This record gives sequence, C-alpha cells and structure tokens, in this order.
Amino acid sequence: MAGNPFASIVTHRLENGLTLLLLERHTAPVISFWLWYGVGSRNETPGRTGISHWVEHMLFKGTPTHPPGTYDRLIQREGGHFNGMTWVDWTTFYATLPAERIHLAVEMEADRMQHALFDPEEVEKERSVILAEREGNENRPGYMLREQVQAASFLAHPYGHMVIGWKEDLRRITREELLAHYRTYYTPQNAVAVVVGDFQTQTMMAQVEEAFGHIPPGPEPPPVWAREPEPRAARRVELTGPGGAHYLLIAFQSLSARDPDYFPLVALMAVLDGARGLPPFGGGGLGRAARLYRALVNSGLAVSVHASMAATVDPYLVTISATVRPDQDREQVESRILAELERLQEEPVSPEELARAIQGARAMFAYGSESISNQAMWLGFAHMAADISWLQSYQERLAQVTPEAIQQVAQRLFHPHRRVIGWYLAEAGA
Amino acid sequence: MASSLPGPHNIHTGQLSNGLRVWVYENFESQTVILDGYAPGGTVDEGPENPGLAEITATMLRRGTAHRSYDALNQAAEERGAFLGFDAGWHHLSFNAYALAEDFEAILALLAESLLHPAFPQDELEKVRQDALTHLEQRKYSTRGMALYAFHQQVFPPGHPYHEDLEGEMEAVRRFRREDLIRFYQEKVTPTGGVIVVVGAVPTVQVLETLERFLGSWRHPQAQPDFSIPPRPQLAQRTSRHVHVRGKSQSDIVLGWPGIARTDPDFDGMLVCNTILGRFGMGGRLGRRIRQEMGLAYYASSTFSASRGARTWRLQAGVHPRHVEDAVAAMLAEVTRIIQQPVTPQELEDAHHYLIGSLPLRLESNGGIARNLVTMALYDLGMDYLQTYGDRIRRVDQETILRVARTYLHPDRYALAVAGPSDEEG
Repeated sequence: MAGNPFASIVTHRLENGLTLLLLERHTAPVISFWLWYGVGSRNETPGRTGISHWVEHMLFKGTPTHPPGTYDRLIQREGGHFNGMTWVDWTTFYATLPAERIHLAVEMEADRMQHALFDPEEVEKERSVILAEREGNENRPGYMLREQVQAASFLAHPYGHMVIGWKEDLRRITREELLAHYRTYYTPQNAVAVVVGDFQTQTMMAQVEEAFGHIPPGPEPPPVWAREPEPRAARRVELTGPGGAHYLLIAFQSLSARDPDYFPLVALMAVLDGARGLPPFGGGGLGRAARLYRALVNSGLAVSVHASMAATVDPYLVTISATVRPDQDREQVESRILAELERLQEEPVSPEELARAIQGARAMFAYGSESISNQAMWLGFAHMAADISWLQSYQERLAQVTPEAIQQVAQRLFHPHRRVIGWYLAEAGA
Repeated sequence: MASSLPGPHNIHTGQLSNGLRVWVYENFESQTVILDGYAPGGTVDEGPENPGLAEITATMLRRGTAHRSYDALNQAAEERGAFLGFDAGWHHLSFNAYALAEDFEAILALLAESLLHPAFPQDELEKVRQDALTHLEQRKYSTRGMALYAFHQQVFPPGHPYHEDLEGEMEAVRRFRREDLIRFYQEKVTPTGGVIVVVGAVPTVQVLETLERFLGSWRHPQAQPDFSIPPRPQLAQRTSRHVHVRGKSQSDIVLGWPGIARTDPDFDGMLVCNTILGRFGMGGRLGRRIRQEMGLAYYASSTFSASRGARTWRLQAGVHPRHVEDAVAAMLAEVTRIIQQPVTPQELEDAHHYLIGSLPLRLESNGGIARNLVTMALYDLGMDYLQTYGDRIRRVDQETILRVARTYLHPDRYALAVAGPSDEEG
C-alpha cells in the first residue's frame, strides 16, 4: 500500500443531496461505513448547548422497525464494532463489519436518518445518562479547566461551549427541541456517507442509493452566521479545586482547515510537540525530541507538556497544556512556554527540525493507514473540515512547508492579546 | 476464514542464542513494523519492601545508555518517526517499538542499546521518581483510580504478590537508589524464557538474523525471576470500602471477585459469560439495566483480567453519589440472575457471533496482530490458537456459562469499592 492511500477516492452525489465517498481497499474482508452530518456544537444557540450530542444519543434509541437496543445488537452479533461521535463541526455514526454484512449498517443508518423515535420516556432517561456523562467529565480537573478556557476564548462563536453542553441547558432542553434539531440537520443534503473496504464501487454505490435514494433532501440547514472577532485582550482564568498537581492551559485562536497557513501550523505544532497522526484524533507517542518537552520536562520544570490543534470549519484553538507539581515554579513554566512561542516568531526553525517533523508525520500517516476504520474516518472528517483534495495532498503540502512559513504563522497567531491563560490550582487534601 | 488467520502456516518461529523466543509474522500490506517483547521479571519480583521498583526500572531503561543520553535517544528515535518504550507487568518487563519498515534495523539498534547497556543516570532517576510520585498523588484525586485501588487492596490481601499496584507506593518510591534498579534489572529480569514478536513489512530471514545480531548477546546469567504462580485469593465474606474524594461530581463503583489465570480452562467460558453480563452492545446486561433502563450511568460494564495468576472479574459504573446504592443493587441483581438462570439461547448466539466475527477486526493492524501473538507465545496457547478460537467459543454452552458464573460470581460475598464525594457534595 505504498504511496498515497487516498488517491483513488470515488465521489458521487445522490439526487437528494447525499454525498457519497467510496474507497476500495482489499487488504482484509472488512468494510467500514460512516455517515457524517454537518452538525455539531457549532450549530447550537445559547440555551440549547449540547443538543447535537443529545440527538446523537437518541439515534441509538430506536425506530419503529429497529426498537431500542436493536442497532448495537445487530452490528455486534456480526462481529462488527460501531459508535457515534459528536464534535464541534459534525456528528458521525459508523460501523465496521465483515464485508458481506455491511448492508446492515447501510440500511440502519438510512432508517434512523428518517425514523428515530424520540420516545418521551427515553428522552428523559437519556437526559440523566448525559448528565452522568458530564459529571464523569467534571471529575477531571483537565476537563474543568478546558471548559473555562474555551468559554473565555470565544466571545461570539459557539465554539465557546463544550460539545456536551452546559448542565443548565441539559436540564432544560425539551423533546420538541431535540426533534426539531433532528429534522433540521439530520438529512441527506446535510450528510456524507463514506465507505472504505472490500467492495466493488458500483455495487456499493447501488446499495447506498437503494437505501438512501428515496429519502427527501430535507430543509436547507440554517447557516452559522457567528464569526469570532479578532481577539483584542489577553485573558486569564483561574480555578481552584482538589488535585494532586496544578494544570495549565494556554489557548490561542487558531486557523480554519482551509486557511493557507494551516499546513505551516501543522508543521509548527510538530516542531513544538512532535508529529501527530491525522486529525481529528491524531495521537502518537512522539514529542520527546520536540521543543516543548525538552524545554519543560527534560529540564525538570514541569511533569508533562503537550500542544494540540484541530482541523475545523471556523478558526478554533491551538492549545498548550502542562502539568506542574506543587513544588515546581508555576510562573517559570508559563514564561518558558511563552518564550518558546516567541522563539518561533523570532527565528526560523532549522531545516533538521523541520525534516524530523515531516518524517514523523509520514510515519504517523503510515501507522494510522493500517486500519480501514481510520481511513474512513479521515476521509469523512477531511470532507467535513475542508474537502477531499485536502486529505489527498496532506503529506505533499506538509512536505512543502518552509521554515519561513512556520515563522510567519507563529507571528500571525501568538500575540499576547490573542491568548487565554488558564490555571487549575490544586488545593491539597484529598 | 481460519486459514487466513495467523497460524502455524504463516507464523515463523525461532530462538536467539540467549533463550529469547522469536515469533515473526510478515505483513507486506503495511509499510511499518512493530516489535513486542516480554522478558521474565516483573512486579512480583520486587519484594514487599520495594513496591514500584519494577516500574521505575522499566521506565529508566528508556532514559539513557552507556553511549547516548535520554535526549540523544529521543532524537535518534524521532528523526525516524519511531517509538520505543518499556513497561513493567506483574511477571514481565515488556518492551515495544514501532517504526517504518525501512527503519527496522535502526529502531532495533536503539532497543538493543537500551536493553544491553542501560546507564540508569542519576539525574534522570530523580525526574522519573518525581513523575511517579506525582502520578501517585494525582491518583488520590481520581475517583476511578481510587475505586480500582481500593478494590484490588480488598481482593488481594497484604503479602499477596498482587497486593500492591504496579505504580508502587510513595514511601518506597522516595527511597529507591540507582543501585537498587541495577540490581533488580540484573538479578530479576532475563531474556531467557522471554519472547519477542515482530509483525510487519520485514522478511523473516532478515528479522531472525538482525535480532540475533543485536539482541543475542543480551544475557543476565545470574537473574532468577520468580516463575511460581501466585495463589488465587479467596473472599470469605462481603467487604466494602468507601474512599471519600471531595469536590467531585460523580462516584465510581467497582464490585467484584478474584478471577482466573490466563491458562485456566475456564477462560473461554468466562469470556462468553462476561460478554453477556457486561460487554455486548452497550455494556451487556449491566449496561442495559443501569444505563438504558434506569438512566443512572453513562458507563456500566464488566471486565475480567487474567495473568499468570488469577486477577479479577469486576463490574464497574460511574453514577451520581445519591445513586450508588441503586447501582450496586442493580449490579447484584444481575449477578443473581446470571447464576440462577441459564442465559437465553439468543444471548448465547449473539455472544458467539460477536466474539468470533470480531476476530478479523482485531487483527486489522500490525499492532493488533502482535498483541494476539504475544499472548499466544507468552502463555503457550499454541500457534493454532486463533484458528481454533471459533470452535472453542462455540463449545461454550448455556451449562458452561451457568457453571462458570456460579463458580466465580457470588452475590453474598464480594469486594466493593466506591470512590467519590459525599451525597451532599455531589
């Protein structure tokens, strides 16, 4: 599978607006089917935060032909795995199955696109399940800090609230609001079906057409008008709470995936914290040869440090987080991180550092490409954040990044007035 | 399907001159290679006075060699986008590396250098020590971490090899000296009887030749790890422990029993029974009752772990503090049900289909293949283990599940741990 695994994607659009992306991959008798909807926390208005994630939960709660519990049972009894995820720009449902069983996922996705029940009793049960999910998150200092920093980072844009939503809204949102949200956004013209694996393109296209082709396109989804203004004031947030360490999170408003500076920013992040797998959930074990780890952890200033970014429709956040022991110097940690960002603004990175970042990204791409599910996820995700060519040219565009381009994007983003610095300060005593 | 799975026809084996067994599986569909290794000598060998020594020793193997500093090791690995790591288990030191196939020899050289010539530098030891202490301190504030810790402390009594956590204990971690690590590594860890699995786009001949060249001279002739099997503990009565973690929104519950060893003949029966009890769909019967019907939790499931000795079989959920009693009652009701009545034919068929059908998906990546091969090699499960897996799972019937459930699950004697805030705080 040498070369670009995404070179031969077939794109098709049904009459009702459903976009179809197909990629044959015959390495294993497996197919991964993903249905992506262009709706996430970005589409939510004050008072209704968390509604997209809640609708995602409700799509597992049955239709007239597939009562609650049927979906997961039918997929898993065939050896498949499945899940649903909601994020800032999108909601996705997927199943990966032995190839000859993929029709189950295709048919059930088409069914719940139209016929989810939203049974009032199930809505109430799910309210308490989601509150429990949120309370589990609240148990983690990192979540509490992130929520506050994110809120302080956006004055106007809905990216300012967490995908799960504010507790106050979760207690109030009604079944009717959930249903209206579902009917507005979970429609063919707002959806992309992605299929990767062991199939013949024409056969699969016909299968998807048969399942989805008759569904009405649905209403035009309301546009998101909110634009975050250019930040003008440095902000600080500080929380206190029980904990075994202090947590720092520094955030800067970032760039959209379509921004010409996006790939220089990916390279910049690799220089700071090592190469990552492809977004949205690109992980990796690298970073210990990168600038932040060497400056903060190797030097003994902090316990850990990480940088992260995401590929999003609108400008989201670049963040740098650190864990600091109570006996370590918090101010020094903060200033050292900021000094590393200033260094990126002031001098170009060395060709060797850049080469290491590119090679790391190449390796991460190869590790991640081994899984059919991963490839399908990347494909759908790229389409939601930008377009297919964005993914197809990902490695190439990364390889073209120059030290000067990295310096320019650092100068563009890392102004003091563009940042939010947040601390979760540990109070001793469990 | 069976012949396309890794088996005797496509797994190649060998042995290095130091006694390290080698399993190789070629996969030229990928561009990468992964090495997974286990060498005898782990946490059970550190002795009751040194909890955490095995873990710190494993971490320090990555922190510098006679020829290269920690930073230089990092540079050498990451300029190739490669990863190298070490970890301690109950009975083994584990090592893991992955790289692009073209860098196989380079990453193996770094692995060998770390295993054969570790420097255990004093300044790095101080950093690793502080990291370990911080993790132990952070765990005190983690409801899930504390619930698991309190559960294990009840199941494995003081003096049992599995009593302490792998991470160890603060007082011991504070006093480890460099000499303690060197002695532990030399006297307790050995390649002899260990195994290394290599999966990826590298020909077998090259793998075997290169491994011998780099790792063949790794020998610890004086090492004497403990090869005995830890006894299976008994729970004579119901025990419970509530760990107060203030300032949290949710309590974590762990309720369970001693489990079985990985080689126990009941393993397949427990696998199917546990799938029905707490895995299938969204958490099996537990998830259906506690999450879907009662709406109490986001997660409710069961899991079992098995090592050379019996580990645990446990049920877990995260709920609001005021729902702890209801959730525990629901867990016990499901335990009572599964020991009183046979599972339904439908449940059994679903679990069979799921466990058998999902095998190819679990073998999709080099990492997934390597994980399975390591387990097969480590516990002598046979090279045809994956090929006979389907037949073994299908042989688990309703009677087997009932017998396994009645043998290991007891609604009247169990260990319960709850960690979280008080009712008023939550």
